[in-house]
Amino acid sequence: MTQDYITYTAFALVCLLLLTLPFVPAFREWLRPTDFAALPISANYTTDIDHFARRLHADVSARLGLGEPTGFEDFEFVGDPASAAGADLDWRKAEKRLIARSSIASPSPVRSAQPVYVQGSLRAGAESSFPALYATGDITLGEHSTVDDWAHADGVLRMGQRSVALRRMSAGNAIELDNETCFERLHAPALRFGSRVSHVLPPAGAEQTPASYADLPGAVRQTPLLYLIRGDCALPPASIYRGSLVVTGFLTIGAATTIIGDIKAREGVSIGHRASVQGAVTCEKRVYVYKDARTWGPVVSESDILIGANALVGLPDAPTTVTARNIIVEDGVVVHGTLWAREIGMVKQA
Amino acid sequence: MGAGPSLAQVHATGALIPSFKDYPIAAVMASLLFLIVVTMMIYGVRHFMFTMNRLTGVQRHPYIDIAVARWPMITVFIAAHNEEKVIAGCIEALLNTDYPADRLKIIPVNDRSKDGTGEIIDSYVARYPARISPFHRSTGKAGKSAALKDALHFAEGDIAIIFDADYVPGRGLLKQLVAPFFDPEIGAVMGRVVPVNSAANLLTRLLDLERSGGYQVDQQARMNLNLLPQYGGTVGGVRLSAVEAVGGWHDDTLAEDTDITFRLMLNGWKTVYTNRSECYEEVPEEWSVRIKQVTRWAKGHNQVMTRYWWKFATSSYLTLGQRLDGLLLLFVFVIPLVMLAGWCLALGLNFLNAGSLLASLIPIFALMIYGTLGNFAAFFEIVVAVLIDGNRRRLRLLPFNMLGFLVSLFAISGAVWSLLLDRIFKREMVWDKTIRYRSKAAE
Repeated sequence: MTQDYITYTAFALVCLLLLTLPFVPAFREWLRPTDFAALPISANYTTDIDHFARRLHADVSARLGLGEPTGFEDFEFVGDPASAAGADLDWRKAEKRLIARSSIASPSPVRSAQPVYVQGSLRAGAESSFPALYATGDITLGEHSTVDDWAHADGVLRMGQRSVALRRMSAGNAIELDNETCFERLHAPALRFGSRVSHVLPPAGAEQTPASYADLPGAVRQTPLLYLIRGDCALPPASIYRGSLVVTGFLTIGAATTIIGDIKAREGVSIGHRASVQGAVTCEKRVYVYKDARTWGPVVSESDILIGANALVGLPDAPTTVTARNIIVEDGVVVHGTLWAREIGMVKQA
Repeated sequence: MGAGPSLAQVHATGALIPSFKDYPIAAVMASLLFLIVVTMMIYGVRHFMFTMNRLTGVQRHPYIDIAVARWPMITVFIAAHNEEKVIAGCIEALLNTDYPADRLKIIPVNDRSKDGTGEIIDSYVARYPARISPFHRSTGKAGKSAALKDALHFAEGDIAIIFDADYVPGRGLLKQLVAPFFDPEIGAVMGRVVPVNSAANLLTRLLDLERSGGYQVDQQARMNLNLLPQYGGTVGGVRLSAVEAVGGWHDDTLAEDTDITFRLMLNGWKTVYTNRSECYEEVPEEWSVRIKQVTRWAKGHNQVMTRYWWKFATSSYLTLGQRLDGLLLLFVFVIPLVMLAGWCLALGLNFLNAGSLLASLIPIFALMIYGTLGNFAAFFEIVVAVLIDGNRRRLRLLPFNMLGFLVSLFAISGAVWSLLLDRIFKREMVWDKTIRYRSKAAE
């Protein structure tokens, strides 16, 4: 009997010990806190694409005595006639960020291991490479060039065929990417793709017939300006619809049809030849924007977006965003605003 | 307890549940306990799935990349009742946002404040008359939902973004919260709430852990799995045409956020959670305040549950997964009472000497579920959330969360009971405002 009590007591003590053990570090952390700060949230956080470019610009301005000190003003000068060291510097062996005090035009490739800031324009030959690049004028890089982190031109940023533009590319006027160039995130008032000059067709207005979502099979009126259709939906060609539409299946917009409103389709969207969506396009799967089609608002896909030749996205006075996991744009496409491929984007020859 | 020796024989027969004919009371108790344990296991599995999804699944942030667009006209409402300590910080932050000023109207909703809130608001209106339109409310039904209902009449545009006065939105937050509304199917959007006063004391540190689990894992996993993230009434917004379409803003509830979430969902609208749209809030620093807060949430949530659970279960707009997740969410503030009942049943069966397989195993299962995976001890979820947030050492406090869970358990159970009494005696529910701790000097 006594042995039973001893066994029970020992068992109880072991249990108590096991239950108590986790409280030892808990008490220590409570009494002597080591990790208690609020989760940091940057009050000034935004998704501005030129964030790093502006930071480099601020550092350079500080270095040149043109701006407030930033604490990150360590640079080397390159290509500057006033600096002998700068003229002879091997860009690939540079250990500090580089500043060029004037424009650079090199028919041969320029390869730098450090971010470069150019006061003026930069023209570099094929197979140039930079981790990061800023020019107060234009940037023109030959074919097979590479930018690893970001690039910004206050004017126009051009990259030749089969280049690779990783992370963030931005420009004050325009970005022009030639065929078979890969990209991730681009932002400029105008993004032009391919070698072909875009010829934007006039709107298809004259031949269009007014139509209503209410006449579509299975249409459910959600609000006066929004209809819902379960399953697939095909909008006939050369029609004009006013209001927004949600489709739980695949949405096909006929050629030369205009929608004045937003659209959402869960299984996919196809915007036909010369069709126009004067609102946002949202889709959980693939979006096809056919040749010569137009969209005004954001185009969002959780999968892929294919934008056909000569299609136009956004407006010069109303830039917008195109975002998807993968984006393929064909020759002659123009986008006003931001193009953001979370995995990879590519320019395809039509 | 003459039934004791007889019940013990059940064990020998291997029966899971004592015979209803021979031991009716014990059989009913054991059956109920079995159901409760199964329910808790369902909640536990749900949390486990959410956590695993957060660790290994595809993370959905479909709208976060919309940085450039023709932004719609929006109205930002700041719900304020005696908020002189914090209102200025919120207005200042909204004035500094990167949302286009000509498309943003700020309406501080001064609901019957007796402190200096009204004067502070007016001082800002004097400085920014084109940007701020005050809504001073001195009469009418008390409570945030009633005040917002009145103020919503003055909204411009179709999107209303709502903050409590103690929130300090960052520069880019409004664009992040508005971006999902480009999707015409979205009825409400919710951002992430982060405790700003986590360092204050043990309670705030425990709430910090809880909040991490709730947002970083729970809400984001619902978003990932295309289930139903919940709109929380602040750091978020609603589409006014959608609210109108589902019956308008209700002011007869203590949880107008949950009310609108479920009405939107069961009528075919979607809610979106944007995990990267973070905003600071104050969490209670005193247990009494925390208990009041939880009690209010529980009463409001259960009001919504009783109103909509059947409509939700039968809504034709929802998938099976959405329906199941939504129902589990709806019943979440009943579970503590159920859990308490489970404990009582287990204890009762023990005193009845029900040494059956059921009585032997269920408490073990219960302990395992409650202790590791259960809804009110979702430790795994919290651990993963805090690690994703990049913290580690604060996890040492995790055992103390049992204390928080126990307090919530009894507060919620009390709230359920109180709600029943409110119904029986037709008592009007009273809005208890959560007090603020920020000192003016700290602003």
